[in-house]
Amino acid sequence: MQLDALDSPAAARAALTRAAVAVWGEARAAALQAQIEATAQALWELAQVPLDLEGPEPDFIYPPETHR
Amino acid sequence: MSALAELGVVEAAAAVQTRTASSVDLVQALLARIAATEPHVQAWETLDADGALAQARRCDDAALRGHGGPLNGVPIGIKDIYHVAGLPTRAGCPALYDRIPSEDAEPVHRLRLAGAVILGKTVTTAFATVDPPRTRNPWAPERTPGGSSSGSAAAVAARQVPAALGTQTAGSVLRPAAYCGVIGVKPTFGRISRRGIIPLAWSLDHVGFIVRSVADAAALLAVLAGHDPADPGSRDRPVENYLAAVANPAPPRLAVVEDLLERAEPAVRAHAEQTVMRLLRAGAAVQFVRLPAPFERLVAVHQIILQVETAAVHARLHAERAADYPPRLRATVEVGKLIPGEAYLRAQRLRARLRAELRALFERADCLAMPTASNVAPDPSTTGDVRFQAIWSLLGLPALSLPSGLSDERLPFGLQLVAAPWAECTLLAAARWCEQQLGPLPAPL
Repeated sequence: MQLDALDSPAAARAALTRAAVAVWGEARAAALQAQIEATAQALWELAQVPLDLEGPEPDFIYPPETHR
Repeated sequence: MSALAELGVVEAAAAVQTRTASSVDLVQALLARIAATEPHVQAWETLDADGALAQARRCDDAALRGHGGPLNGVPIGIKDIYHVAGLPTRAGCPALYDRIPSEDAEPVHRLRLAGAVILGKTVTTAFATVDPPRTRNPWAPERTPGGSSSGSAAAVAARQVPAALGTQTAGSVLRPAAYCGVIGVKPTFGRISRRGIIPLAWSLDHVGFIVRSVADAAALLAVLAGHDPADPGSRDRPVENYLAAVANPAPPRLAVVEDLLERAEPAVRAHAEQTVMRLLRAGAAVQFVRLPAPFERLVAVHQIILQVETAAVHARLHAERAADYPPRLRATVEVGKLIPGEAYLRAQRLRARLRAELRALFERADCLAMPTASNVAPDPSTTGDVRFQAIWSLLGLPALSLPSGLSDERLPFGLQLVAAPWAECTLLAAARWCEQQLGPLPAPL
């Protein structure tokens, strides 16, 4: 799945469903549809906020005000 | 109900210290209360009656000799995601996890050093996620108590114990506290050690606790807060005087978050607006603010981080025992494994940006204020709506849920207060002032 190639929630849903079928099989992918739907919406939200080279550094575990 | 079962943490500690009641009396009163109410509430996974009475006798001996810590003789419940030496940890999922640890989790250790009596283990949802628990809401058995600290919130509300530990990765302390009409506290990420607690998502997991008064919250935080080099998330920050912070609080400056008001159910929104007006008339400074980024983006960033980290935490166990997983946790793990690494890193980068953008809101306010949840406790097919609490777990900010009234159906509403990083004194002072204006809720049973 290419995050920046997603152009709609439906594209995110389709990409996740394809991945689910490939990894877990068709029957299991069908059982995961509710979770796939919610995750696709979240991925679409992220896909709409591209970050460039000078964007924020990832936070990982430690909040920045606590260790930097 | 015995009057001893109504005592809070500070009152119980004072009673033991002054020997107006013994710790054994307290434990026996709570055991009687549990015997009477547990069939309706189902809050306890393991009740250690004999062990608690033995601890209580030692606490009474200490009181007699003028010794004992600040919580000497006070019974406390522990969510069954923490290790307690000699008691089984089942993490709400005995099919997958059932061990008897030899050491206490660090928060439990600190409670014992302060003299607390460990009464037993409270029910958690499976691995502190969203598959519904067996626990019922003491206000209405056909409603969820919320989760994942379901037993802790229900037990404190039902006067089975004056305080209980919980954990929060999305909304697992504040939401059950709100649904059950008690106080839930989740301090800044890194304030309390998580050593000896089964993880769910490393960068989101917080220790929290449930009590019935803000003074009790200050007393518990004073014991639990502090650096632990053995927890990679623990920070070496000064521990302030939380008890002094709640002694004589001034009216706070509150910033009401409109984005959340707009997304609350109508009855919740109307109640929250009435509550804010009460606080304004009583002297609080109130302004209305908006989040610096879309609410849905905050929720999405939290969801992606949670799912990927949960999938990583559970990778091995799921690979060996997928069929034994409860359905919602299994789905979280299996879809979490499909999320690209780039999405996780983008979520972490956005998290850093969101945290920086939000900081400006605290220049003009002591606390953000909003409903704790979008709804009152729903039916027990879910543990409720996590979104209003999850965004503050994402940002690692200290948060507290205070009961603010009852609905027409006699279900509790919660007011959520959120402060700047490490500003627990500010949070507790504001909460104490609001508590003085709003008053307590009655006991549900």
